[in-house]
Amino acid sequence: MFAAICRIQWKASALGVALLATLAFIIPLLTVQQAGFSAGDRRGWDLIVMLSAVETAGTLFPILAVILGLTLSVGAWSADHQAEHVYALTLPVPRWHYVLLRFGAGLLLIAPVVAAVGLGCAVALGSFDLPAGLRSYGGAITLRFALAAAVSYAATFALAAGTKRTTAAVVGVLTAVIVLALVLEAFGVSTAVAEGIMNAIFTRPGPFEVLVGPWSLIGV
Amino acid sequence: MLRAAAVVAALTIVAAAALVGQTPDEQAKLDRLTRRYDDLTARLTNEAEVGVPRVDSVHVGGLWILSDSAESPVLLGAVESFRRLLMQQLGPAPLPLLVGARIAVRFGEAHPGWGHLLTGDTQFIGVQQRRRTSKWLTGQLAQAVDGLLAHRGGASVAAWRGDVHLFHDQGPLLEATHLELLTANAPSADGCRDGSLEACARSLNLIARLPGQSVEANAELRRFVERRLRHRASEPALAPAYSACVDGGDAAACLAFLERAGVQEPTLSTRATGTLLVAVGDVGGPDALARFFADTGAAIVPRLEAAAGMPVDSLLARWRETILAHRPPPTAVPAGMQWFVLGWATVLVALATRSTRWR
Repeated sequence: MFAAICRIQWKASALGVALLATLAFIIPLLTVQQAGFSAGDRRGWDLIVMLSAVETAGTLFPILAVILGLTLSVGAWSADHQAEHVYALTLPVPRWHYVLLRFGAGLLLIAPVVAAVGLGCAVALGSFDLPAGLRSYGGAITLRFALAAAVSYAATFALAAGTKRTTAAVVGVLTAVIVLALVLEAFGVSTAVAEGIMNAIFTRPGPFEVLVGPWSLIGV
Repeated sequence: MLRAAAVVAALTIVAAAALVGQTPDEQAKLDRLTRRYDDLTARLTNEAEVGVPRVDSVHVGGLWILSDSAESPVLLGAVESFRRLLMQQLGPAPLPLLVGARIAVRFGEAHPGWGHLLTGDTQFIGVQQRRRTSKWLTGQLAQAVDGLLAHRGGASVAAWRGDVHLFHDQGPLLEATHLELLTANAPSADGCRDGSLEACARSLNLIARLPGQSVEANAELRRFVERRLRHRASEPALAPAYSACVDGGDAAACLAFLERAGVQEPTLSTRATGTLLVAVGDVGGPDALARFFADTGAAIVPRLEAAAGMPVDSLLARWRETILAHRPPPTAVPAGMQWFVLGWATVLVALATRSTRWR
């Protein structure tokens, strides 16, 4: 059954996964090139500008991880949502088992994109000699990307598993609170609400701490 | 009692207004104010009435700490921690340079003028309610002494532009200097990183760049122009000087290029120069910094040499080694974070299995 579900999800997500894998491979190469590390003449290198460029480009990795999670979770549930979950309800397996199969199939599809990130980092970092004093973080970026994609996928998968009303309620409440806080702050009423929500989400014990970690491919 | 309180309040308001900007007139007013504050302090210290907003003092290493809450546990705790810090860095004997200097600590909602201000020999610290902890105040006292030492350290310290950071957490300070040495857009920093002690001296503002400098420094200057400013070589006003500097190796042309390009040759920050004093303390023994600060008349390099007990080149070599050894740790993904993310993924999947859709 797992193989069948994998096939269905692959059909639903293949285009997105292929596109994202291509992007994942290209981002490290472009990062190195744009920062100027691929320029052969080292006499023109300005490390502080180059490292800053690498750091800026690194923000693309968590964005890609979130898009990947979203794509896979939509792909995981699209067939069931279209068929009103009738097929799923007729299967002779408990619901939790079915959900795990769906989740596992999506998790497998993260692998090609993670591999593309790793390969892209390896090729990009192998294209020049790293100056003394600097470190490359190809492995750390790949691992961080895998974790970020996994947690993003899990979160969007859980949201998509719910009814439209549940999803709308969760997203709506979060958006409303943030918008309200921003409006209040625009009128000079200082609230720590938006900051509190961001902290709750992006710092420990929030789930998305990994998204805001250091994403620089090259550092000190 | 009421009169004393009113005088304190009035003086505080006048002090704040006077301390913010310091034109000569205001400076004179400030001096008068400081004297009156001293008089008031002396008078209130002797009063025994309960409820008087007393201004008491604590004596630490030749330094007077005055406060309107001298018996506050926060202040006493901070003073005790600070006394240990001071002895650790400058030895047990009162440092002549600190004798007569004062730190005035005022509790309560601090007026802006009491933020952190140095006037003459008095450093003012305002302690706001929300910051009322001994740890915070210890840091402020230490920072105040750093300021007093830099202020009273003599003309050579002032000319050196070296900040004093004796009481900072040294690890982050040294790591920040490592980063600075690696990325500073300055020929001297580049040269120092590559091993030139002369460049280290220049990067720490110990010797000035002169047109008739050494061959090594001229080569370094040329490399800097070529490495960092090549993108401006095509500007018509700069092209001849660039060519003469980079292709012809003419140091004067390099300096002319920098001047026309409006590029100042920066040295390392005052934070980095402060780390040299830490190196002096490390190599010169327990009284090294006391020796450094005691001899206010000498130039900076002889003072460093006398305090460290070694030639400045050896000191710079030690400093460079220390800085290069303090490379920040790699930013790996912590194992804890991996388990944490997997834990969250598990929780979220568990939530998905409990979806209301199937109930």
